[in-house]
Amino acid sequence: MFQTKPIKAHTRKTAEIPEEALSILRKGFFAYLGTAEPGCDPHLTAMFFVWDDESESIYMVSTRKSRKVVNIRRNTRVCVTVDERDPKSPAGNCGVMIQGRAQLVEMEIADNLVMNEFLSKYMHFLGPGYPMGSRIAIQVKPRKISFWMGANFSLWKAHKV
Amino acid sequence: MQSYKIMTVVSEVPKRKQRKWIYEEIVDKIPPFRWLPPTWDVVAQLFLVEAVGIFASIYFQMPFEAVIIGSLIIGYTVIWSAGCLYVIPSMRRLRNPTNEQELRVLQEYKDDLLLNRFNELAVGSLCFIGVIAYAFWDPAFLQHFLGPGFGNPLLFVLVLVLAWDVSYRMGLSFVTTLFAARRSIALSYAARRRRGLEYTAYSEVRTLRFLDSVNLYWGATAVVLIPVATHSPLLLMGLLAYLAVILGLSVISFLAMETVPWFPPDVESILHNEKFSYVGLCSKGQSHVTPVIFVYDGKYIYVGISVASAKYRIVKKNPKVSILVDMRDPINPMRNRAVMIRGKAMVLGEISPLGIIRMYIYGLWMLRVRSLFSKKYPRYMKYYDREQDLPLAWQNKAFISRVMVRIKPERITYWREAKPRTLRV
Repeated sequence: MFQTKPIKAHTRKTAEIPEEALSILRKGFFAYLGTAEPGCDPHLTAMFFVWDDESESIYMVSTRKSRKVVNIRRNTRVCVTVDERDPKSPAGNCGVMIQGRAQLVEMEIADNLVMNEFLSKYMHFLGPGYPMGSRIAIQVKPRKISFWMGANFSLWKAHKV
Repeated sequence: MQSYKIMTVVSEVPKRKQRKWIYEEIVDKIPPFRWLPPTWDVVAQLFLVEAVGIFASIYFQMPFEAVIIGSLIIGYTVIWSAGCLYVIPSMRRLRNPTNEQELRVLQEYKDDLLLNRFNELAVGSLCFIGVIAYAFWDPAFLQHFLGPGFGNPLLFVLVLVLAWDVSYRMGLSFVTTLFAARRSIALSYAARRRRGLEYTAYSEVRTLRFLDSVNLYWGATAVVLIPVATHSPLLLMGLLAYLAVILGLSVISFLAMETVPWFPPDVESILHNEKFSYVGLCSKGQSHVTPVIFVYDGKYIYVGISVASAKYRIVKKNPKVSILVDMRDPINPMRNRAVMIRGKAMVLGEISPLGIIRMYIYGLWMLRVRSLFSKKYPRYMKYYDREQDLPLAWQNKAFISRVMVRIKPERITYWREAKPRTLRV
């Protein structure tokens, strides 16, 4: 009756990235990128992103001098969250949290297909004069993906290379 | 209007010569004080005046009571002067609000305190005349203290100087408290008419509140004078009335300052209206981002989390938190706005010795925050309350499975159309 240690929500461990998580990553419009500043001070930004199935990684585009890029140069461990909001009930909330290593990729050598996909996803809003010159792509390779739908959690971990 | 443009702001242009308080001016000119650091000025003042007083009491063979009473009066002036050490530096530290109307209010307040001597002199003189008139009307009062020396012109001058010193200080602290109350009311009026990103940073509001507390300290030091006035009901009544007025004005000022919002209206509207936020944590260099529900009570941001979650584990180790709230524009996502607030987190509602102490201190406020939660997220709260097949960690068993995290804002970043802008807190 007097339960001191709460019963945790059950977490499934999966070998593959769950299909629902992938569908959220394909559908989602905003990603929230968390980087760490020196002294373990978290920094958060809302970003446009695109999920690339082939390399199993997330691509984002940012400006060279922005805070997140500066942070990533120092500490590559980042966290990206994409979720679907349900204002009615938390049972309908689902989302994906990806923790992994970020890599800065110069625009010239970034995967053209992915960048085209990025532009076509957000072209409607970025406008024709989107300056690609001062930009830099961020590629995040997931090491750990947690996915939740209501109170159901599942966790995927990358195999150690 | 014209005058504000000509007179520049205190903190920006060091026209210190013009903007000195009378106390500083006197201390700067008289030799023994000029050479001493400000803290020692006060001590030196105490010893000097006290020595004169004791010498006079021995010379004129005053009763012992008079020595104590005189020391109390000197004590009053010295304790009062100690307050000056804090006022001027914090006044210079004040930085400008971005709201023009609030800027004008603060400007006027500074000018009244630092430039305009007329008010304090007027009130001080009124006090002085009152005291002197009373001494002439009821000579027995002075005679009681002064003993055989009563009637000596030298002693009379000494008493006059002391009376002026006390009256001037009382007048000055009355005037400063009055100005503070007027400034607080004007500021809260102006603050409620802010637009866009105009605001007064909270550090400024805190400085102003500190100034108010010094005013209250000055007013309250008059308590020291109560034993002096016990012999005459009239003086006692006057003193008590004075204390009551100071206390009332301070309370008014405090309440008015409480209504000044902490953030500019653009930020406040996002925090009040948006339902989803993302909380970022960091453990061992790895950040952790999760969506949470939150409420904003005008000062702090509260987040409800479960004790079984990773968030709870991380926040216990590293209380540095950043929370991002964004407002999505349904038509064009480039016009989204977002606020990121960074600060220290405090966990409320735990069952642990520290948690229970905190619950005792913040208990009522936690109930209020809980009601804010159920007002903002009625369906969520119902779900957490009623749904029985949820894991226990998710259920809304207050104090067992869910805790509240209070985030104290330290830095704010505001994005509009993908352009960040940092605001001071």
